[in-house]
Amino acid sequence: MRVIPIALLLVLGFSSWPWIAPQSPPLEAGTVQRMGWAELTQSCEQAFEGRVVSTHSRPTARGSLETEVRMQVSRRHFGGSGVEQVFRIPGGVLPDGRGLMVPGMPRFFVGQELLLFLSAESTAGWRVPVGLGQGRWLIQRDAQGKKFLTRELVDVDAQGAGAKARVDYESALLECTRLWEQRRAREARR
Amino acid sequence: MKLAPLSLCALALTSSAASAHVRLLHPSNGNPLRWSAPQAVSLVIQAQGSSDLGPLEHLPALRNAIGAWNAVEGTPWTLVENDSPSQMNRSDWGSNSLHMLLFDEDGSSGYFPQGSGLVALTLVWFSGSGTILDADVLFNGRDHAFSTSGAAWHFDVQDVATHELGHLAGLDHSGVAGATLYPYVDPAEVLHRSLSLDEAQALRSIYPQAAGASLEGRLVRSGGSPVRGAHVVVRDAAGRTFSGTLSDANGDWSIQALPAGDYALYATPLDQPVSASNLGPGHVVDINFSTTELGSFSLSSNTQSELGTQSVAADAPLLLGRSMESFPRRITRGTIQTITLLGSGLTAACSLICSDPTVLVTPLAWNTTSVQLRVDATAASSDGHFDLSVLRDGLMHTLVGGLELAPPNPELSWVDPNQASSAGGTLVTIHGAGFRSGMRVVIGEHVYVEGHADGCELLDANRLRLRLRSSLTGTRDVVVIDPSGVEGRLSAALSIASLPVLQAVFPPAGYEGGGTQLVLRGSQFEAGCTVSIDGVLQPLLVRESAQLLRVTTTAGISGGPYVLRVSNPNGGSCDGSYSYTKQVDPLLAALEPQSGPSSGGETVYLHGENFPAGCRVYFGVDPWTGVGGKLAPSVLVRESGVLEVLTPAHSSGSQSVLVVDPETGQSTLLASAYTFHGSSGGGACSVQAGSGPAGPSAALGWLLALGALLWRSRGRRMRLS
Repeated sequence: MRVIPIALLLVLGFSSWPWIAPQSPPLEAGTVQRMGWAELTQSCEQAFEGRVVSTHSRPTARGSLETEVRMQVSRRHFGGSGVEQVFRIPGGVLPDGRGLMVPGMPRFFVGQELLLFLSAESTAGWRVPVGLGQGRWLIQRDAQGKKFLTRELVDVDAQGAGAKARVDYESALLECTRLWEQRRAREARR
Repeated sequence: MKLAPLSLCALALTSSAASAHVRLLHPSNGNPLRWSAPQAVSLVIQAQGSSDLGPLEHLPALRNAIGAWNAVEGTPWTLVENDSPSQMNRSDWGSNSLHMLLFDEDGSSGYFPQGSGLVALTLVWFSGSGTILDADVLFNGRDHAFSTSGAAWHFDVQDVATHELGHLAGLDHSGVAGATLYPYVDPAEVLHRSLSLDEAQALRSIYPQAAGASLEGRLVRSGGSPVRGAHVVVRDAAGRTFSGTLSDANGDWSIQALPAGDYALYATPLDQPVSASNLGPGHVVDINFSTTELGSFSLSSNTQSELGTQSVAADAPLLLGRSMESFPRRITRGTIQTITLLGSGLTAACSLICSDPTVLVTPLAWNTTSVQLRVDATAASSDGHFDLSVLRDGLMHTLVGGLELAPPNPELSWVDPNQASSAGGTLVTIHGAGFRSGMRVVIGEHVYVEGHADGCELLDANRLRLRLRSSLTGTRDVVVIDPSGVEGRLSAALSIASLPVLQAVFPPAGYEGGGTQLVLRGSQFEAGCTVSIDGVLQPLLVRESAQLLRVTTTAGISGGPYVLRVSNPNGGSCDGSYSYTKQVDPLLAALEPQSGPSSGGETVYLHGENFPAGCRVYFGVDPWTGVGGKLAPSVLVRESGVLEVLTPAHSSGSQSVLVVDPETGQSTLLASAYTFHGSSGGGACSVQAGSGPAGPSAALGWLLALGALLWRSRGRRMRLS
């Protein structure tokens, strides 16, 4: 996945928010727009926190392959409803080892606790994390139980590189909430 | 691709081994993905391109991207484009056997949900063993704008496609920040059009043609635990980022297919600007260590060097390069530039080290989260990616291949000629500066690769020459793309029109009183075209086809040759020549007999009018142009209207006969007028219908002859009155 910088990011002074800026964007193969909180909150149809309960890959009627992800939702931030969220992403691996890789599509593992920004549904019925890996954050806790966000699992005790990879959960949510309020206000005006 | 029954595929579970470069891995068993027959991976570019581009404008961009991967030497890997129209017009891109590049303009593929931010995707189907079974590249034309001309906020088709084709080959993102497979791209970015040394090396190691030398070893922390996913990189003797790989779960790494040479080796954490999250599934990456130099090595061909176990340096809060920055940073040869790089821990206690000794790097300001520096690249510096490292308290962090030395953009001054026919064939010279070997010229839907057949020719650093292929009409930019990907462009430099092409005027001369039947052969004679001789419109014009015009001349002034011009309604024209003579045109009306032996030597009488003394007779000429044929060995003018001719030897068949006045060029032709038989003997056989144009021309010839006689009579009357 490849991304483009959004001018808005620069306007908002991305680098001036080290405590909430996505310092290690979860970007994988393919080509996607570069996204910060402003783009993630603006582009998503749903945003929520939860834990992955199950994943299941299967062929589709159109001859493709998809993975159904079932999540237990603990907190909804934008759109959607209910305590369970089921969505399908393109790609996956069948029991016989055959598979479809959509480079850039993040993988979901049972037990992962995530903050997820989901796109609208495509014509094939697929939703994907907004900006692929950029829209999927792992929620971790430090030794004091304080939440932080990372792109990939990091050693919670690491002081050097590990510390650099963290994004403060509370600050990030505060910023996202502010941006969602702006979005709702804009949409209400329309 | 569509799924086949499960029973057809076997499950293979093997452990992942350390391998050169960063590979796409099977998500479940870690097998690297690869093509089983890399020497001919077929590709089809869908004819319908992006709605942001002109018709077929996507073709040269995508073909250049294919060309970039195919240019790698030392590997059998080859993308083979199938450009048959039937394939290019297919829409069943999901078919197993079809590997297609296409633009999804309406979201019908289903792979681009609204709000996803996806610009392009490569879909890679694989088996349990890691064999790639099918792959397609999709561009999100519904939600994003594409360009081939560097338009602002548009993605460069070639740049994006070159990246995606790397995934199609089985490569994951590269930890080399300036590489084509760097995970990020900016609108109008073009430097990813060209492959880095790392990517070329990746193809050689995945799809090797020869073994080459190799380096391998193991990385551990001071406590002995393995370092997983360390980015192990070799630089060549010029300080260029040459090749990299990731260590595996045991800390083992191996870089293969290296050519003989001197290398420096180091390991660095894959933390920024490329991180583990940029990689596909299957990679585990440790980042809590610092860049560690692992030594310098002189490798000879095919040697395997085992470096044993080495420890990495301790972690440090030091970083150079952020994912939010654009890479590579272009450093133009022979210039001094000031750039700013982001990072962390960038204080005055740090120093900068450049891997290229010919490039001078001077820090100007340390701002903790950024450093401003001056980069002085001499004109003698060679192209390619180089590393920049920041050093503090004995600990280091390296921005791998983040800077790219590239030449100045090629400059285009003018194109000569600036008008050409859509039929092709025009020899065009491009004048400018900064041209060199490996250039690609793009005009309309075609690419002209320097040194290739049908390509362009590098005359010198200021001139490129090429012969245009047939193409769509329109005003075209002329683009010269350097091997580095940077380009020079001359907008609207060449007008390609449906210009008529005049190949033959027959006969080349005729009577000043007019009435001469001219046949004009060529191409792209459009409906409504006109013909003039010395500026005088010729009203008696019949357009038989886009390749054939018939003109009955009006009276003119004896002399010439005058310009005979064919003009299409759109303004395009082409010129030939024609002369008027005082002498009345000869007219051949009939032959007697009309057949004879192929061996020749038969006496034939030609009946007509105004045969001049000294005229020549040819058998077997082209009935349209009067060209070719065999000269009759003997011609006697019995009287003005009768020639006694001895036939030449000729292959059997019905042949056209030409009488020509060598002094004036005036001619008269009778199509399919004489038949040569395979055996000797003659007789008064009937005239056989000829093949091709000669057949209908025979009858037409008679009609024309009759018409000419009538016209001539009219002319005489006019002259006499």
